[in-house]
Parts: sequence; structure tokens; C-alpha cells
Amino acid sequence: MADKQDVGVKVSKPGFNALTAPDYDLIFSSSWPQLPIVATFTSGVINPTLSGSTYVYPTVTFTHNLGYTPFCAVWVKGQIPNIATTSGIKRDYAPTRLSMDKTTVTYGTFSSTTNYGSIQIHIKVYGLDIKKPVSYPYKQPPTIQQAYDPNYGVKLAKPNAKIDSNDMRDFIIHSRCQSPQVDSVNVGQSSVDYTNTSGYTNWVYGFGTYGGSAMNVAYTNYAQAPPNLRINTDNAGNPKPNYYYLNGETSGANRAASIVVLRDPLFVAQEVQVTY
Amino acid sequence: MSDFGMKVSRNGVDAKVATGNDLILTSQYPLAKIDSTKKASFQNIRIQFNNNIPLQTPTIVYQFAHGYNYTPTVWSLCQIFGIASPYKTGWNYLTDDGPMLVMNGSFGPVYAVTFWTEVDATNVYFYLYRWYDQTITETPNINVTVAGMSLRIRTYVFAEDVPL
Repeated sequence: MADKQDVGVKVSKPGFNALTAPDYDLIFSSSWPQLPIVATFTSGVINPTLSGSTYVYPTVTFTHNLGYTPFCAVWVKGQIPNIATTSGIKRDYAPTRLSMDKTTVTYGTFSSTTNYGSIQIHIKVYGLDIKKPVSYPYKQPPTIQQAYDPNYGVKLAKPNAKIDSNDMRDFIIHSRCQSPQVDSVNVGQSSVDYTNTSGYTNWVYGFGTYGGSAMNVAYTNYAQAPPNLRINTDNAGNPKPNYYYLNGETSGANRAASIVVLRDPLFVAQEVQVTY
Repeated sequence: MSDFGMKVSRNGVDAKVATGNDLILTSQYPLAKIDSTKKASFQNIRIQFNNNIPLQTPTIVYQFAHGYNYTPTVWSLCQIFGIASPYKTGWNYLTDDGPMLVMNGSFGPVYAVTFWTEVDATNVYFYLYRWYDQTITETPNINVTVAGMSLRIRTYVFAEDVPL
């Protein structure tokens, strides 16, 4: 169940009382857990080896030693077989390629009869335990964009970084910036679902075991085997607005399934219309 | 472990020992940051397709300058609208990349349109790729088209970089 924070840190927008301001008039509140980056890993250049007529890309494992299974994401420079045929930097969301447990994060092997050339990967590890259920109070989104005022707010620089830096990478927190906010982590054994009440489609990420105990990133698309995540559809693929379903494994002693639901930051998105 | 800084824990949890979901805020780790002063940081983009895209050719259907002088972290979430029979989508939403945004037939992605997002030190690019599996000998129908459809993309550009 969601709990209310009685202690913490709040920063309101200019002209508003932090003690009484509604969510959308706050710049920052520790009642909205955001996504800290607790570790990053970057590989060297990874080359495939030829085995018979198959090019095999090796598994790459990094140790984080957090003691819990964290939310992770991977970016790849190079071609990703069956996904992206260009060689630039993109996030890889292929099923079961990225997996994590309490100690390590692994980018799994893949193979192809085509040589897609070398790749390099970068993994960000976020400080959110995807196997521990949690939920937080609803945050009302804003409807009017207010300009940032550099005279108000809070900022905390990294060690050896200048507090007046304009490079946001130099800060632990800066009220000019916001993260996606953690709404909930729902955890199940074989499957788990979530009903969305935010009024827009959340950022939803699914994770599940895949024949072992490590949690694998679930596909958000057509997939032959679990774990896969349905967004706004039921498990049969029929439209079901505001419903998220993680289809997980149905056997295995260590099977687990998890849905991470994130909310937009509290500033208004720019709307763009394009005709192709 | 730093000896100085700030920690905020969840109710009932000692901030000195809290980790993971019990630790709301710690000055030990930087938050993933979306800069509210950059319009490109958080966008809802709708692309209406009046024309089809080329076959077997990765096609940039929209790009924008992200405003950093390095390669930032980007997330995207997309949905396709206006799919008419006999085409269908794998599922309603995709996250960042996916091979079956639009596909033809009931038995798998023999003919499909895929989506992915790419980023460099200047721009964010949204790609579509219309393809068919040339190894499958079923009667070909390569006329999967995106004309008449629309793509809705939500995207975040973070201040944190991807050092590749």
C-alpha cells in the first residue's frame, strides 16, 4: 500500500508555500522517489567469434554487489540482430538479453549467420529493487508550464564539481531537473498486473525469470516465450485500456515476475505534430 | 561510502541502513535528470504518415536536436494508430525498440515494420524499417504499408550521457 511520508524534503515553486502546495506546485519532494543511478558499466569493443557458420557474440557480465535486484537498462553501439539495422547508439530491449540479480548484471550472448560486426555496450543501474513491491502516493501532473527560476530551488553537486556548473551531469540533484518518478513495483510469481489511474500511459517496464533465478528484461511486444509485457492489452492481446500485464514463466522454483511503473516528471511535455 | 551527505528514507526505516526502495534520496548517487528548461527533454510526438516508407531501408521518420554537446541517454515509448486489416500490431505499445510494430498475417512477423530510437552527440532519430523475411517462401505480400497510420511517441532526453 502507498504510504505517506511524514519526514523528508520539499521545495515549492516560487510564490507557493511548500507546506501546503499541491504536488504540481512543487519543484521537488522526497515523497516522489526518483531514479538514482547507482552504477554504470561500459564494455570494451565486443567482436563475434565464428563457430561453424555462426557468428557468436559473447556474454558480458558486470558486478554491482548491491544486494538486491536493480532496475537496469542497456545501450548498444552497433547493429542488433533482428532489431536495429543501423550502427548508431540505441537502447536494446530485445527479450532476455539483459538480466540482473543481487550481484551482477549480464548482457547475454546472441548469434547469427550474418556478421553484424563489433558492438559496444553501456549499462546504467538504477537504485530500484525490482523484486520488492512498493507503491507511492499519486502525484497530480501539471497542466501549465512554468518557467524555471534559478533563484529558487535546491541543488547538490557531486564531489569536486562546481555548484554553479551549468552541466547537469555535475549534480546529484538539481531542481531544474526531474526524473521519472517511481509509482509502484508490483511483484508476482508467474504473472502480475497493474491498473493505471494516471490518465496517460505510464512508462512501464516488465521483468521476469527466464529459466533461472535472474530477472530478465521483458519484451513489450510479440514474443514467443515469457517474460513479455502487455501494455493496454490483456494477455490475449485484446485492447484493455489502462491495464498492464506481465506474462511470466509458469514453472520453475525461482520464477518471478515484476512490473515497474513510472510517472512523468512534473513539467509539461512539448507537443509535436509531424506529417511524413 | 561517503562520510558526508544527505539521506531520506521511507517511513519507519532507519536512513543509516536503508537501501534500494527504502532509500528515497541519497546524496551518494545522482538522480537520472531530465532538464525542464530544454523543450526537447520531454516531448509527445505524433507522426502522421501520408506516404509509405521504402522497403528494406532503415528510414528516419523524424529527428530533433537534443541540445547537448555529447550523446545523452534517451528513452522512448511508442504506439501505432490506424492499422487496418489485414495488418496488425504485435501489441499496442513498444518501448524503445521492437520488431513488430506492424505485421502482416496471423502466424508471425513474416512481413513487418520495426521501430527503434537512435542518438548521437547532436540528434535523436526515430527509425522505421519495412522488411520481409526473404528466407520464407510463402506467397509474398510485401505491401505492408504505414501510409494512413500514425505513430505517437513519448520521449525523454536525460542529462546523463552514454559514453560509447
